[in-house]
Formats: sequence, C-alpha cells, structure tokens
Amino acid sequence: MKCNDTERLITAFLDGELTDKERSEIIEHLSTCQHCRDEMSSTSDFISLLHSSSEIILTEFSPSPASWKTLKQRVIEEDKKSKPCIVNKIEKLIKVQPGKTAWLNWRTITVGALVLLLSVGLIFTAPSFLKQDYKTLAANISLSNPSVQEIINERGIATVNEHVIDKIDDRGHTFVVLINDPDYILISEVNFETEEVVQLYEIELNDDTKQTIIDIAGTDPAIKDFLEQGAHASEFEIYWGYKFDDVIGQDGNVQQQGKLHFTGYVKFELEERSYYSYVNITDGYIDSAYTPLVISPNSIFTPIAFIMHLLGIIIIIALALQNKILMKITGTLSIIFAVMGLLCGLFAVQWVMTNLIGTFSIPIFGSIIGAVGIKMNTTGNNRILSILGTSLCIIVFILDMIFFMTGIIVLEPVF
Amino acid sequence: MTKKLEKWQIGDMKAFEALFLEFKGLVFKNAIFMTGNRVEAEDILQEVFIKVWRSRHDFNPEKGKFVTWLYKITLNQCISNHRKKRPDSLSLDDELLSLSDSIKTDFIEENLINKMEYEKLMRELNQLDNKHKQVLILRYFNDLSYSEIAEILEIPLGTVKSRIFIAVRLLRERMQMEMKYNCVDTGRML
Repeated sequence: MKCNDTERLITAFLDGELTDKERSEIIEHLSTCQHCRDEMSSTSDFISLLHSSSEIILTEFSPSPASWKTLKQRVIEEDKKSKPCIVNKIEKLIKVQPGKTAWLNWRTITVGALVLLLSVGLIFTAPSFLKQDYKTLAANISLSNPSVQEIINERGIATVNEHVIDKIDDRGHTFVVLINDPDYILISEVNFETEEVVQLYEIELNDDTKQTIIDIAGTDPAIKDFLEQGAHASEFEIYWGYKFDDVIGQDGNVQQQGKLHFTGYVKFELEERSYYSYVNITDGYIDSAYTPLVISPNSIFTPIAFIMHLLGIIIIIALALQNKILMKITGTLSIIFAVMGLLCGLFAVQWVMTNLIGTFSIPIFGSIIGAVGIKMNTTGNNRILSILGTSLCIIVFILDMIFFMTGIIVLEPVF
Repeated sequence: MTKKLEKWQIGDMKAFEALFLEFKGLVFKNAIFMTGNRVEAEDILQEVFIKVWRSRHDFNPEKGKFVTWLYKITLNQCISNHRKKRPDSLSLDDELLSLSDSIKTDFIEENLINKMEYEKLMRELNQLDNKHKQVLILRYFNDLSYSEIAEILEIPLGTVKSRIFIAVRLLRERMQMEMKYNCVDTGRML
C-alpha cells in the first residue's frame, strides 16, 4: 500500500471501520513508514480533541428548563388551529382503538378515495370482453331469428358483424348491428325479457335512398340554392345511430327508450366549391351539426383509457407503499395523463368515455397523482416532473371545462 | 420504547413529553454543534419537536429507528434555520467560547485540551460547510457508526467514508492555518 492510500484510510482505521484485509495492509505499511505513523498519531490526537470538545459542550450546555412548557403550549394551540373540532373527534375515535399505528392519515384517505374513483372509471371504460355475457346472448337471439337468417342467406354474407351496443334501455331493449357494410346496414332490436327480436332495421344505399338524402338535405336554403346553380351530389354514405330518450310509457311512468336511426351523408360539388350535409333519414331532418371529426367506436382510445385507469390504481397503491422506483414513473405519468386529457378534450372522444367521467377524470387523476408525487419525498428531476405534470393536468382540466361550457365538447353519443 | 412510540403516534401528550425528555439533550447538542449558537439551538429544539408532533403519522417503525428519523429532522431543521439567519448573526456565540472556570480547569487536566484549541476548533467547525460539518458531528460528537450515518444522511457508505476523511483533513488544515496566523500576530514562535 502506498502513502497516499494509507493517509486516505487513516480516519476510517482509527474509527474501526475498515475490513480485516485493509487493516492488515495499513499495519504492514505503518511498520515501515515514519511519515504515515506521524500522520496517524496527529489524526488520532485531533480526534481526541473533537471528543473532548463535545464533552465540554455537553457538560456546559443544556436546554432551558422551560422548554417543555413552551412546546406543549405551541402544540396545543397548533392542534386547535389546524383541525376543526369534529375532525379532532373523529381522529380520536379511530385512533384510540388498540392497534399498531394510526391507519387513518392523508395517505390512506387519498388512496381510498382515488381507488374508488378510478374503479368507477374502470367500469365505464371496461372493454367489451368484460361485458361479453349479455352481448353473446343478444347476438344469439338475433342470429336465430328466421327473418335475419333469410336476409343473411339472400345476401350471401359469410360473416356477421354482431356488434352489440353498450346500453340497455328501461324496457330491456338493446340493438345488435348485424351487417354494417358501406352500402347496406342491418340492425336488430332485441328484448332481453322475452328473448326475442322486436324489430329489424335495414337500409340499402340505392338510388331511392340517395334521392331521399338529397331531398332532406335540399330543405336547407343554402344547399337548395347551390343545387339550383347546378351542383351535383358526388358522394354518399350511410351510418347507423341510436339515442336514448325519456318517454312516457304505457303505465304513465317516464322510462328511457332506445331509438335507432339512420344517418346519411352527402357531398355536393360545383366547380371548386363543395357542401357537406348529414341528414337523419329515419326522421327526415338535417343534422348538419356533426363534423367529420368523429372517432369510431372501435377507436384505439378505448383500450388506452382502460389501461390508464388500471395503471392509475397500481401507481397510487405503489405510491402509498412509498416505492421509490414507481415514484420516478409518477411524474412522467402525470404528464402523459395531461396529454391524454388534452386529446380527449380536443377531439371530444365520446365513444371512448361515453360520458363525463372519461374526459374529466383523466386530467383530475393526473393532477392528483402528480400532487401525491410532490407530497412524497421526491427530489430533483422527479419533483420537477411531478410539478410539471400536475400543472399540465390542471390546465387541461380547465381547458376541458371551457370546451364543455362553450359546446366544443359534446358529451352525447353522436349516433 | 415501542409502547411509548405507539402512544405518541395516536396523539398521547404524556408519551410525547416522555420522548421530549429523553431526546431533548440529543437534539439540543446537535443544534449547538451545527449552529454554534445557544439561542438558535433552543429555537431549533422547539421546531424539531413541533415537527415530531405534527408528522407523528408519517413515522413508520418498520422502516427505521425513531432516533434515526429524529436525527434527519434535526439536521434538516438546522440547515433550514441557518439559511434564514441574517449574515450579522452568523458569528459564533461568545457564550460558547467563554466557558466557566471549573470546566476549563477540569478539562485541561483530564483531557489535555487547552482553551485556545477548543476555541479554534469551535470557530473553524462553525465555518465548515454543512456537508462536512454533519458527518463530523454525527461521527465524533454522537459516536455513530459509518453505516448509521449513511442511513441518516441517505448517502452510500463509501461517500460517508470519503466525506469523513475530507472533513477531518479540512478542519485540521484550517486549525493549523489559524494557529500560524495567531503566532505571527503575537510575535511568538510555535
């Protein structure tokens, strides 16, 4: 061992913090080196000086005898200030019970509330495989119907769509989309109580249908004018849609009933100009409020929303357990949540969430998760990430609210 | 101790008082070493125990000892108090240097320490940066092992080892420097 290495280890040697190997190496070196022996002796003297000084302070100085009284007074005052009476009482009630440590603290409360909230979100965003049972039943009822079989055979369709919508109305009815081709749609209305097909809806994009679409669209003065100038219809599309309305039923009570309708899309063109129109074919009126920014029910956002809720639960639990690795992910995730919330808001992804919970819950969860991240002992980059994520989430939530208030986000099923 | 801690965590004032009486000396002496000021140390003692009371639900006995947790709170409080201080009050408390006569003679005889050395040490320790001051205080004034220090400061064991080595060397060099200047001032030879 060289002098440099020995000097570096002398303090640890005197403190008894070296391994046996290091110790013997040092002892061996000291036996041959006067310089290091001197260094060792003066370091040792210095350490004794430190010890002695500490003892002087200990003997000479002690806290003032009144310090407990002052402290007690402050603690009592602070407790009174910080907690309303009722919270105090509840806290006492829960904590006086025999147990190891107080389990009701900010962490357990936050986690409990969040898991509950997220679970609700989970149910709303649950993918179709979790709801398969009633869907299989509805599909089977529809497929065993003779009229349906006849149509399928007649049209020579090999595979049937069998898309069952996610809602059942108060009468126990739902809709099964059996065929959804660009030029032909077949939908059955199924009654779960009687296990029967109540009604079949079909539409074919033939000349008659096209004429109907043009006629309805033509009731708009602007389009009528455009047609008179010589515009022609260049593109047609048909869609299906449903609405759930409150209707006064036969027993006089208000009940929610599902109503199916077909929507037609037409594009009119004249030279460089074009007009789009969406019309409700079933009820015969123009429904041009819809923009082309409609995301389909099978959107990629559905599984993403589900996974995000699931992730949220895992992360919050991990945070509660103060898992350091997962805490690093927290900050990043709050940012992702914020971006997702922004996307949901901007695109008004009705199909992803089906209602308010999705669009607003994502930024809310994001900000809470971020805040938990800040509250925990995160440091450095993690803390900056958490703060950034939380602020973003809060901004997105406010933006979503503004969009919702001003009608940019329409939280209703489009079709 | 476990019973006392459990009671304190559910808000028992008696248990809190017992904890205060048991650990006030420890908090106070470390505050004195860290700040070099008696009044400030009293202040820190109060703040530390207010924190101990306030965050009693955050302490988890399964994750570490109470005393380790207390050390952490104390050192953090000393550092944040120090930041708030006015520059003119940064100087070492005179009281700390003017010891009572009995103490002086006792220690000169028993521990071969003289007043000049003690004063120098306290002055130079006070000038040291927090990072190095902390390890010296924990090791030599609290007699803690390197691994205990590593746990309190949340740094690797190797860092503790090198930091103590540097701190000792720094403090020794500074004391030798001061000694030289003093000798020049008084015109004496060492």
